[in-house]
Amino acid sequence: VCDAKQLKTDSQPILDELHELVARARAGDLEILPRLRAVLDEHAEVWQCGDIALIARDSWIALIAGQDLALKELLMRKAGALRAEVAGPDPSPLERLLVDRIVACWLQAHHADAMVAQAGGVSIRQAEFAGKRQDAAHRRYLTAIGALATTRKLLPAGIEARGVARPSQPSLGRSSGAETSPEVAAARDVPIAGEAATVLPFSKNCADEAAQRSSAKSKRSGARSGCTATSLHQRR
Amino acid sequence: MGWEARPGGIYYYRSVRVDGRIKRRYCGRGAIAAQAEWIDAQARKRRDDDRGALRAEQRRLEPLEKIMNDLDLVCRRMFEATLLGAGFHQCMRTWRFRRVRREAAEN
Repeated sequence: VCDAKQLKTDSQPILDELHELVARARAGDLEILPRLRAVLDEHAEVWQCGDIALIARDSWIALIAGQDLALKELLMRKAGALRAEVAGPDPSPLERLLVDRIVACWLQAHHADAMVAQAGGVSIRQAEFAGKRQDAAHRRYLTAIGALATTRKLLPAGIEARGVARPSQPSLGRSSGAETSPEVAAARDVPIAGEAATVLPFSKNCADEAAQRSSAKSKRSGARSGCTATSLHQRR
Repeated sequence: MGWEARPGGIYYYRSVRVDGRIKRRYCGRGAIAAQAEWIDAQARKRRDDDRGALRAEQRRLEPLEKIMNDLDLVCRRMFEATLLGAGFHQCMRTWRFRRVRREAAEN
């Protein structure tokens, strides 16, 4: 927890500036887009906030495993395998961040499931608390998966999107409209709808709606029952 | 709730909520009243234990919830910043590429 606080403190000024820039961009202010891209390109440390996800992962594993070192080792390996499977061979910094978040949410959701399953002989209030935690964890998990799906749909792998620097490219800068490939144009011209878009924004109401839509969709489609981490990578 | 001195002796009264209002119910005195008091004390202890266990569980999970909330915030900011920087905008919870004034966006 202390490490997370330190990370948050170090990156806080940049994150605050980013928050302001995002708010203005969402309001339609196109003039700040160059500054927004510059912040993303120049301040690589903001992408290191993914370490918060790793801290979260380790904290969940420590909580779940307790003193059981064998279970801890198994969970570490399982989380690592899940991370590698979902991230794929060449994830962008944003994808890495979102994948780490998915792994942390996966651990949280399974911990909540276990707590509910093992809640025998507890009071009604404790059972309600466990149930609410389980619902919230699953909503958060679905939101994390949806964000990654949206990222991959809008910014497919191999396509250079402005402001998204891949590890092999220190700074992509901006590509002009003439440099835009047909793939990018095709990807951008298609209005994004469906499951990937339903998870945004990340407010509680929308997260609820995303979970409801996701469950309804999974009922309609047996083959795609739930948007699993594995199916994400396979679809990619 | 408890023992009350009334003319003629000390009697045990139990407070209960009826239609949202607190009412006192007479339980008598002597061995019966002592038994009622013991039952009430046991129920009170059970409620306190449950409340304490719930608070302990909440305290145990609070740091992790805090980390997850921070992580959500960071991911949301980076996600939106990346898409907005790449030229997308959000319309009716749907991310679309901003085609209007594309030249202005690229400058």
